[in-house]
Amino acid sequence: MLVLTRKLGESVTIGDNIKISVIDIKGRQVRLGIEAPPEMTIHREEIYARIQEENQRAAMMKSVNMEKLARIFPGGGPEKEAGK
Amino acid sequence: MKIPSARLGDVEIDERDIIVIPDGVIGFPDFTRFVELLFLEGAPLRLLQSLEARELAFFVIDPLLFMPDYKVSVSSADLAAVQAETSEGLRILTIVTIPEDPYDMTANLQGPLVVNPATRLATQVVNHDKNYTTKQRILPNSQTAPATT
Repeated sequence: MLVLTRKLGESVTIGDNIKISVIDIKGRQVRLGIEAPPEMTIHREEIYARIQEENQRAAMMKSVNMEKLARIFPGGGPEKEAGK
Repeated sequence: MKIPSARLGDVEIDERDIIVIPDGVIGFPDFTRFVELLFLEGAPLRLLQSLEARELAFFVIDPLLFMPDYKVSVSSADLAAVQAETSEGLRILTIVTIPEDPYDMTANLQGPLVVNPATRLATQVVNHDKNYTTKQRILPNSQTAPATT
């Protein structure tokens, strides 16, 4: 990993069109400003990791009790009574 | 065409119903072709079944059914991913996790799927709104289980 030291107001650039600036530093928190092309997706790592974990949990459906599940929706559930 | 599903057995589907998620669901980048199946008459849940792995499927639900004011801000990157000009007409689905007691099922409001019905392309987006969690209860908390006889 490349490690750089930056002061408040300074930036790093990545390639031709990504720029990351240090906007503010307060105690243990750093505010970053990111300029990047709109087609690039940027998100906080922990949110991404949380979604990935939840996807993995959701995919483990072998353990799902289908009979119990069917009893929760006896022909309707929260959805409007569908025409049967 | 017929596709195998670990949950439903062999299912006959229309190829026109195939949904392609080019980047896959987050954490599952190798699986890109899915179909949305009805698996339980009358239930608001659908099964998003992978065409590439019979074992891989996700329960999904329209979040507006239990949270009518749910909102997702769709970025231009997301729009590009599903080849849409605007967010109008896009469908939102949330992935459902079903624990041991299915009554406690939760929906992931932080990582909804955005589907473009016109192109049959979809992408899982990150919803940055802090009011939403990955584990939103779908059914009311008090265990007023429906009568079972």
